[in-house]
Amino acid sequence: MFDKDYLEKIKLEKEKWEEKIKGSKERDVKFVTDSEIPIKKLYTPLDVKGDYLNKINFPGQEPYTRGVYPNMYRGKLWTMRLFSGHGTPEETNLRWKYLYENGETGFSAAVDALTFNGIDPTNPDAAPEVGTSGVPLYCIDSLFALTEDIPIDKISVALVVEPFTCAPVCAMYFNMAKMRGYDLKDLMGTTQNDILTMTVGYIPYKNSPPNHLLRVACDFIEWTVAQKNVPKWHPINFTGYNYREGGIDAVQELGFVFASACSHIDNLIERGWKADDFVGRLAFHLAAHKDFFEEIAKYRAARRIWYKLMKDKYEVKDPKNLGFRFHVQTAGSSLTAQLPMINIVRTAIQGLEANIGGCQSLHTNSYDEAICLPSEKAALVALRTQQVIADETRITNTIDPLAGSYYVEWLTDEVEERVWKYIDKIQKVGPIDKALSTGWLYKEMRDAFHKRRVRLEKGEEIMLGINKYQVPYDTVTDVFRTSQKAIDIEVARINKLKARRDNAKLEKILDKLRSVCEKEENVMPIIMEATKEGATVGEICDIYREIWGIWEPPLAI
Amino acid sequence: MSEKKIRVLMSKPGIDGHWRGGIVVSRAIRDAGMELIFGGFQNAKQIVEAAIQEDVDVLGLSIHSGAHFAYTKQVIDLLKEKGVFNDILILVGGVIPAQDFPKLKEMGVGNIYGPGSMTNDIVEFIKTHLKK
Amino acid sequence: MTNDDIIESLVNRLKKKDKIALARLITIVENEPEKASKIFKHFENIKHDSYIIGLTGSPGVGKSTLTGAITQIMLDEGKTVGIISVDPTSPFSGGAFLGDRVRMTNISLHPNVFMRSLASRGYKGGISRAVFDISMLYEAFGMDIILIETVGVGQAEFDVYNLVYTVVVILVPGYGDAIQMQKAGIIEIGDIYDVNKKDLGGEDIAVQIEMMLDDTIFQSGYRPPVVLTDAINGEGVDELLQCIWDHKEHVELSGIINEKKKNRFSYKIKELIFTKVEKLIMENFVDENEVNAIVKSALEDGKFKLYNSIHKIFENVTFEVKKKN
Repeated sequence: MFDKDYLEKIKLEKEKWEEKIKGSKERDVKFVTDSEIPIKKLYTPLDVKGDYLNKINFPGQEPYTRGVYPNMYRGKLWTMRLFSGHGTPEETNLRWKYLYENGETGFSAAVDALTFNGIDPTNPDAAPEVGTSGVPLYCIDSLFALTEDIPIDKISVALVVEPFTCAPVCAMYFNMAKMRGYDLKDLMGTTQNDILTMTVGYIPYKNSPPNHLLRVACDFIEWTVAQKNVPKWHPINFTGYNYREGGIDAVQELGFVFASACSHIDNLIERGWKADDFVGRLAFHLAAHKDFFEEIAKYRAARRIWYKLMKDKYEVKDPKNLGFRFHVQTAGSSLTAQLPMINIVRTAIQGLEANIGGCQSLHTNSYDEAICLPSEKAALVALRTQQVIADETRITNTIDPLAGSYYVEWLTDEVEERVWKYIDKIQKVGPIDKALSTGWLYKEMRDAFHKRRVRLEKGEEIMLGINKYQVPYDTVTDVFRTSQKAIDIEVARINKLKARRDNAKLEKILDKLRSVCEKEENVMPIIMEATKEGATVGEICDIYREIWGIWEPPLAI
Repeated sequence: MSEKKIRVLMSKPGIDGHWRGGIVVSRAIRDAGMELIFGGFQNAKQIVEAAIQEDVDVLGLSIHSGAHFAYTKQVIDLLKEKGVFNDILILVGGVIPAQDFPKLKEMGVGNIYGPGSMTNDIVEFIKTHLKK
Repeated sequence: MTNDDIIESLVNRLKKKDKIALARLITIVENEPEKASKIFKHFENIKHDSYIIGLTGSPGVGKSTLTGAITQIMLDEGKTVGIISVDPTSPFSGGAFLGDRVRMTNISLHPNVFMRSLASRGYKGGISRAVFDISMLYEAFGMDIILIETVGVGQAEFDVYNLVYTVVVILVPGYGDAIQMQKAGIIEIGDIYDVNKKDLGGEDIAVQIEMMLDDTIFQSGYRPPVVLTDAINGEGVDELLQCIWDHKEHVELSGIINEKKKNRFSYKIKELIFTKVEKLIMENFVDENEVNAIVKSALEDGKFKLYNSIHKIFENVTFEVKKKN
């Protein structure tokens, strides 16, 4: 990239400079990135390898280092999409409207533990958790209530459910949209459908074994995109965010999502599809964590790695299908319950990383994240944080502004190289469901989390309020509490549904579902029928459990 | 050869799957020389039955769902009904707002550990606050 | 220190099937083994015998899940079951992670089952002492079946295999080939071989085991069966339990069970005697400090001298046993 002779000159001058500052003291701190890549005092043209057109090039062009679209934020800003849900669908609907009025440009449904795990509120072991950590979406009526007066034809909606309940919840959403008169061919949105979130990031309650989860995740991709039933839908977001929350680093995050993506693509190719039939709609959900430059380098490296995987490994032909599209969530695990106002600063910096890094969609955390679900006030601050970046900082004036920074280009290369090695490591264990069921992924997560705890307890990693400038937990910030009435409301909703639905007809459909599950056929068509006739998420998942068994994840202590 | 070891039951009432904290604390408890019985997902009845059969000294409830009052009350009421409440030190950990600590203590919880708690503190508390 | 009144009260409650009392008595035999005689003297009139089954295999083979699965069937058949699950104590910390109970949540509330998790606690000769005493308590309680689940490694004299009447060895595919199984010593101790997680290649392992059994001569004419299971979806579990009942019938009808009972008690009797003698010697003759002193001098003067050091201590000493009148 630079003239060879001139580089020699720089090298000589650099050596002179190093000689001059020899012996100057450095602070007693480890100068490494969050993923422990050692970092030099200074980066210069000497550190940037390769040439501009091959490695960096222009946005919207191979290898996509500078951005997935030619225009990026000059053409359209990222979607401001706050992950949100609590209490009941009606309450969540109000919160969604509030955020929309305040400038949100996309919706994202955070569902409760029962919806995640396919359990109905009539189950007494789970009843206390109705609506406490997200919105309950147990039946089609819930989806109607959630989207009342919400322009789902104009604004994209993200349904954050995972493979175990992806089919029933999305089928309810699609049926609701059809009944409202929308054409599924135009419907825009995303389903997270991420196999690792409910299995590694979080321990599932009575879910099915990973090989079945992988298959139904691919069923959903096949039915929506490959078979063109909901062609504009993003049927999956490979979600590194949750694994980051579990302690792994930036390199591992990309390794996990890419290995997972390859397993899904392989599964669909085995079914007879070509990569071009569906990869264009596969998307990603990454974290924006503490290390400012490493995260930005990570996003740039990710685009380059995905392009190479699509072009070289899967021989994707259509350039529209080569781009790495991603949503970002700022890191919840970096936030504290001590002095929560500081969380606003952390979130702002992390949001900035995501935007400089060129994300397509962003969720910024609320300052009360470590205490409770977001209060209205805190959610507004989170939204305004994105709007400050968009409207006041002018970082959107130009695309990929940090390109050409010697440090950032070097770090992008370094992260990319390490990620390739880690992908190899994972793939040696086998496809992603095997890496799960053998316990290998759990061990990686456990070791990473343990490493981080040790760093914290030794003071090598700082969390203000916790191990530096320690203060007690905050007791001043309002605690947002979800509705105590939610259990009764949701049980009543389901009873009403059961009373009006044709139970005999539904029973026959559910029997067909049993047969589909036994034969391992695509579950979507029959589940579309079942949810239209009023099946609940618990009823459908009970059939999964009946036919496929309940998985007990390996314990890694 | 036969010395008394402190026995701890680590349990997750309900269905919320945020298990990292519980596992990290379990490991620290084992590394501190205690015997940690891992209960996993358990409802109140299963928790109390396990606490009885394993004759534990400490019961740890890991709760990240926001339903900490509901579950803690279920467990404590049942422990009292069975007549074993006075012998077991109860600790609650997870995403619990500090404002809720006093009420939990009134209910009979020994101590509460929110996000960022240091495992050393938990271990020390156990060693100095056993009821038996 | 638990006093006699407390023990008596607990024993009376146990006789009334109070599980809290059983749990507390287990704690006492675990921590205060010298109290055992005070406890068991109250049960001298109880004639009940339980049938004792051992399940063993490397960590991760699915022992606990299988134990839970067969327990469920036994409970459905109306039997009462006492379970003892043993996990290793960490040699570094002295603590233990006891992760078996979590696999048996489904059966934990059944009135006819009791389960206790035990750490090996670095006992000399394995964990047998506490396991034996607890199995005696389960028998006093009246359990029909006792299931002892451990990580087995071989045939030390005091190993838990001497305490059970039927041994189930559990293996999974990926265990290695037949030679490794031989080395691990597992191929001789099983009365039943169970290949779990069979979908991952179980048939191959089953064939290998059968081949090794072909080369073995079975004195009693009983050849251990090889069963294939998948504990997670329950496949093969009925068959496994049937093999257990078949073996039970075999040992009971052939009278072999009497040998096994003799083995079980002889181990315990020896252990009780040895413990008392060891205590006497350590208290009255040679104590921990003296042992340490010998070790120290062996390191200083030369390790080969230690043989003679010990010999000298005992050379000019006689032991006399005086009975009290």
